Amino acid sequence: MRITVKLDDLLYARRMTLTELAEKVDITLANLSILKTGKAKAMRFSTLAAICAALDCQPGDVLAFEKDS
Amino acid sequence: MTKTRLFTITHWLLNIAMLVCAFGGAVLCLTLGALAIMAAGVWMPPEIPAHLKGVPVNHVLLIVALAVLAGISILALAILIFRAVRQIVDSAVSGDPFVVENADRLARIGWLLVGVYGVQFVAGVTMGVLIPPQLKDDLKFDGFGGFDFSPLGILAILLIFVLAQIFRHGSEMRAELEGTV
Repeated sequence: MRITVKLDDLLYARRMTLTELAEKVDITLANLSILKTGKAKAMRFSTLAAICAALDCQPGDVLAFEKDS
Repeated sequence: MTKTRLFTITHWLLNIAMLVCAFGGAVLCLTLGALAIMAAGVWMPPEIPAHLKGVPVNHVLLIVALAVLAGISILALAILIFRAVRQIVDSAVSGDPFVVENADRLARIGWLLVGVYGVQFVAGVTMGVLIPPQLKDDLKFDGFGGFDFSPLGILAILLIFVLAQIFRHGSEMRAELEGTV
Protein backbone atom coordinates (compact mmCIF):
# COMPACT_ATOMS: atom_id res chain seq x y z
CA MET A 1 0.00 0.00 0.00
CA ARG A 2 1.24 3.47 -0.80
CA ILE A 3 0.32 7.08 -1.33
CA THR A 4 0.52 8.27 -4.92
CA VAL A 5 0.72 11.86 -6.17
CA LYS A 6 -1.64 12.74 -9.02
CA LEU A 7 0.12 15.91 -10.11
CA ASP A 8 0.39 14.72 -13.71
CA ASP A 9 -3.38 14.45 -14.11
CA LEU A 10 -4.04 17.75 -12.36
CA LEU A 11 -1.47 19.60 -14.44
CA TYR A 12 -2.89 18.10 -17.66
CA ALA A 13 -6.43 19.07 -16.68
CA ARG A 14 -5.35 22.66 -16.01
CA ARG A 15 -3.05 22.85 -19.03
CA MET A 16 -0.17 23.84 -16.76
CA THR A 17 3.47 22.82 -16.90
CA LEU A 18 5.51 21.72 -13.91
CA THR A 19 7.74 24.79 -14.32
CA GLU A 20 4.71 27.09 -14.10
CA LEU A 21 3.49 25.29 -10.98
CA ALA A 22 6.97 25.53 -9.45
CA GLU A 23 6.90 29.30 -9.96
CA LYS A 24 3.38 29.60 -8.50
CA VAL A 25 4.01 27.52 -5.36
CA ASP A 26 7.58 28.77 -4.87
CA ILE A 27 9.08 25.28 -4.73
CA THR A 28 12.09 24.26 -6.79
CA LEU A 29 11.41 22.36 -9.98
CA ALA A 30 13.67 19.58 -8.70
CA ASN A 31 11.54 19.11 -5.56
CA LEU A 32 8.28 19.21 -7.53
CA SER A 33 9.73 16.65 -9.90
CA ILE A 34 10.59 14.40 -6.93
CA LEU A 35 6.99 14.78 -5.76
CA LYS A 36 5.53 14.11 -9.22
CA THR A 37 7.58 10.97 -9.80
CA GLY A 38 6.61 9.52 -6.40
CA LYS A 39 10.15 9.62 -5.03
CA ALA A 40 9.27 11.90 -2.08
CA LYS A 41 9.16 10.26 1.34
CA ALA A 42 6.97 12.93 2.92
CA MET A 43 5.09 16.11 2.08
CA ARG A 44 4.70 19.24 4.20
CA PHE A 45 1.21 20.60 4.82
CA SER A 46 2.49 23.98 3.58
CA THR A 47 3.53 22.40 0.25
CA LEU A 48 0.18 20.65 -0.08
CA ALA A 49 -1.67 23.88 0.72
CA ALA A 50 0.38 25.83 -1.83
CA ILE A 51 -0.28 23.22 -4.54
CA CYS A 52 -4.00 23.16 -3.71
CA ALA A 53 -4.10 26.95 -3.89
CA ALA A 54 -2.23 27.04 -7.20
CA LEU A 55 -4.31 24.30 -8.81
CA ASP A 56 -7.58 25.25 -7.10
CA CYS A 57 -8.21 21.76 -5.80
CA GLN A 58 -8.51 19.73 -2.59
CA PRO A 59 -5.76 17.58 -1.00
CA GLY A 60 -7.72 14.50 -2.09
CA ASP A 61 -7.30 15.61 -5.71
CA VAL A 62 -3.50 15.67 -5.30
CA LEU A 63 -3.00 12.50 -3.27
CA ALA A 64 -4.45 9.02 -3.54
CA PHE A 65 -4.12 5.88 -1.44
CA GLU A 66 -3.41 2.61 -3.25
CA LYS A 67 -3.90 -0.76 -1.58
CA ASP A 68 -1.68 -3.72 -2.37
CA SER A 69 -3.29 -5.96 -4.95
CA MET B 1 40.43 30.89 13.39
CA THR B 2 38.16 29.77 10.57
CA LYS B 3 36.37 26.45 10.74
CA THR B 4 38.23 25.08 7.69
CA ARG B 5 41.62 26.05 9.14
CA LEU B 6 40.74 24.37 12.44
CA PHE B 7 39.84 21.16 10.59
CA THR B 8 43.00 21.35 8.47
CA ILE B 9 45.20 21.80 11.56
CA THR B 10 43.39 18.91 13.31
CA HIS B 11 43.85 16.74 10.21
CA TRP B 12 47.61 17.33 10.22
CA LEU B 13 47.91 16.95 14.01
CA LEU B 14 46.18 13.58 13.70
CA ASN B 15 48.55 12.61 10.88
CA ILE B 16 51.52 13.54 13.10
CA ALA B 17 50.02 11.60 16.03
CA MET B 18 49.62 8.52 13.79
CA LEU B 19 53.21 8.87 12.57
CA VAL B 20 54.50 9.17 16.15
CA CYS B 21 52.50 6.08 17.15
CA ALA B 22 53.75 4.16 14.11
CA PHE B 23 57.35 5.17 14.92
CA GLY B 24 56.87 4.19 18.57
CA GLY B 25 55.33 0.90 17.48
CA ALA B 26 58.26 0.18 15.15
CA VAL B 27 60.75 0.90 17.96
CA LEU B 28 58.80 -1.40 20.29
CA CYS B 29 58.70 -4.14 17.61
CA LEU B 30 62.50 -3.88 17.31
CA THR B 31 62.75 -4.02 21.11
CA LEU B 32 60.57 -7.13 21.11
CA GLY B 33 62.87 -8.71 18.51
CA ALA B 34 65.93 -7.84 20.59
CA LEU B 35 64.26 -9.34 23.68
CA ALA B 36 63.51 -12.53 21.74
CA ILE B 37 67.18 -12.75 20.63
CA MET B 38 68.30 -12.22 24.22
CA ALA B 39 65.83 -14.79 25.57
CA ALA B 40 66.94 -17.35 22.98
CA GLY B 41 70.51 -16.91 24.22
CA VAL B 42 71.81 -15.82 20.79
CA TRP B 43 73.15 -12.57 22.21
CA MET B 44 73.12 -10.89 25.61
CA PRO B 45 74.69 -7.56 26.58
CA PRO B 46 77.65 -8.40 28.87
CA GLU B 47 76.53 -5.91 31.55
CA ILE B 48 73.31 -7.85 32.21
CA PRO B 49 73.84 -10.50 34.90
CA ALA B 50 72.27 -13.96 34.72
CA HIS B 51 70.15 -13.16 37.77
CA LEU B 52 68.60 -9.90 38.94
CA LYS B 53 68.04 -9.95 42.72
CA GLY B 54 67.77 -13.73 42.48
CA VAL B 55 65.34 -13.69 39.54
CA PRO B 56 66.50 -15.43 36.33
CA VAL B 57 67.09 -12.85 33.61
CA ASN B 58 64.81 -14.75 31.17
CA HIS B 59 61.91 -14.21 33.59
CA VAL B 60 62.66 -10.47 33.64
CA LEU B 61 62.84 -10.49 29.82
CA LEU B 62 59.42 -12.15 29.69
CA ILE B 63 57.95 -9.40 31.88
CA VAL B 64 59.55 -6.65 29.79
CA ALA B 65 58.38 -8.37 26.58
CA LEU B 66 54.84 -8.45 27.94
CA ALA B 67 54.97 -4.72 28.69
CA VAL B 68 56.37 -4.05 25.20
CA LEU B 69 53.65 -6.21 23.61
CA ALA B 70 50.99 -4.27 25.54
CA GLY B 71 52.61 -1.05 24.33
CA ILE B 72 52.51 -2.22 20.70
CA SER B 73 48.84 -3.19 21.05
CA ILE B 74 47.92 0.16 22.60
CA LEU B 75 49.80 2.07 19.90
CA ALA B 76 48.06 0.04 17.17
CA LEU B 77 44.68 0.82 18.77
CA ALA B 78 45.68 4.49 19.06
CA ILE B 79 46.49 4.60 15.32
CA LEU B 80 43.03 3.16 14.53
CA ILE B 81 41.42 5.73 16.87
CA PHE B 82 43.30 8.64 15.27
CA ARG B 83 42.42 7.29 11.80
CA ALA B 84 38.70 7.20 12.65
CA VAL B 85 38.86 10.73 14.12
CA ARG B 86 40.65 11.92 10.95
CA GLN B 87 37.91 10.37 8.79
CA ILE B 88 35.29 12.25 10.85
CA VAL B 89 37.25 15.50 10.50
CA ASP B 90 37.62 14.92 6.75
CA SER B 91 33.88 14.38 6.41
CA ALA B 92 33.34 17.69 8.24
CA VAL B 93 35.76 19.39 5.80
CA SER B 94 33.77 18.01 2.87
CA GLY B 95 30.71 19.65 4.47
CA ASP B 96 28.72 16.55 5.39
CA PRO B 97 29.57 15.24 8.88
CA PHE B 98 26.05 14.08 9.83
CA VAL B 99 26.14 10.71 8.12
CA VAL B 100 25.65 7.16 9.41
CA GLU B 101 29.31 6.38 8.62
CA ASN B 102 30.40 8.89 11.28
CA ALA B 103 28.08 7.29 13.81
CA ASP B 104 29.76 3.96 13.03
CA ARG B 105 33.20 5.59 13.34
CA LEU B 106 32.32 7.08 16.75
CA ALA B 107 31.07 3.71 17.97
CA ARG B 108 34.31 2.14 16.65
CA ILE B 109 36.35 4.75 18.58
CA GLY B 110 34.39 3.83 21.71
CA TRP B 111 35.14 0.12 21.26
CA LEU B 112 38.81 0.84 20.49
CA LEU B 113 39.05 2.83 23.74
CA VAL B 114 37.48 -0.13 25.54
CA GLY B 115 40.20 -2.20 23.86
CA VAL B 116 42.92 0.14 25.20
CA TYR B 117 41.49 -0.24 28.71
CA GLY B 118 41.25 -4.02 28.20
CA VAL B 119 44.89 -4.33 27.10
CA GLN B 120 46.01 -2.17 30.05
CA PHE B 121 43.96 -4.28 32.44
CA VAL B 122 45.10 -7.68 31.10
CA ALA B 123 48.74 -6.56 30.94
CA GLY B 124 48.53 -5.07 34.44
CA VAL B 125 46.99 -8.18 36.00
CA THR B 126 49.39 -10.54 34.18
CA MET B 127 52.40 -8.48 35.20
CA GLY B 128 51.10 -8.35 38.74
CA VAL B 129 51.24 -12.15 38.76
CA LEU B 130 54.59 -12.43 36.95
CA ILE B 131 56.64 -9.72 38.69
CA PRO B 132 58.41 -11.10 41.79
CA PRO B 133 58.03 -8.86 44.90
CA GLN B 134 61.75 -8.03 45.01
CA LEU B 135 61.57 -6.48 41.51
CA LYS B 136 58.37 -4.44 41.93
CA ASP B 137 60.28 -1.26 42.86
CA ASP B 138 62.84 -1.70 40.07
CA LEU B 139 60.16 -2.18 37.41
CA LYS B 140 58.14 0.74 38.82
CA PHE B 141 55.13 -1.54 39.12
CA ASP B 142 52.28 -0.06 41.07
CA GLY B 143 49.43 -2.49 41.56
CA PHE B 144 47.94 -2.91 38.10
CA GLY B 145 51.00 -1.92 36.06
CA GLY B 146 49.78 1.57 35.44
CA PHE B 147 46.17 0.52 34.86
CA ASP B 148 43.91 3.25 36.00
CA PHE B 149 40.18 2.80 36.69
CA SER B 150 39.72 6.45 35.90
CA PRO B 151 36.06 7.46 36.13
CA LEU B 152 36.81 10.24 33.64
CA GLY B 153 38.07 7.73 31.07
CA ILE B 154 34.98 5.55 31.50
CA LEU B 155 32.79 8.66 31.27
CA ALA B 156 34.58 9.67 28.05
CA ILE B 157 33.92 6.22 26.54
CA LEU B 158 30.25 6.38 27.55
CA LEU B 159 30.02 9.88 26.10
CA ILE B 160 31.44 8.64 22.78
CA PHE B 161 28.88 5.83 22.60
CA VAL B 162 26.07 8.29 23.41
CA LEU B 163 27.41 10.69 20.78
CA ALA B 164 27.48 7.84 18.24
CA GLN B 165 23.79 7.15 18.91
CA ILE B 166 22.96 10.86 18.63
CA PHE B 167 24.85 11.01 15.31
CA ARG B 168 22.98 7.94 14.05
CA HIS B 169 19.62 9.37 15.08
CA GLY B 170 20.50 12.77 13.59
CA SER B 171 21.63 11.31 10.28
CA GLU B 172 18.45 9.19 10.07
CA MET B 173 16.33 12.25 10.78
CA ARG B 174 18.19 14.20 8.11
CA ALA B 175 17.77 11.40 5.58
CA GLU B 176 14.04 11.46 6.30
CA LEU B 177 13.93 15.23 5.94
CA GLU B 178 15.79 15.07 2.64
CA GLY B 179 12.91 13.10 1.15
CA THR B 180 10.40 15.68 2.40
CA VAL B 181 9.02 18.15 -0.13
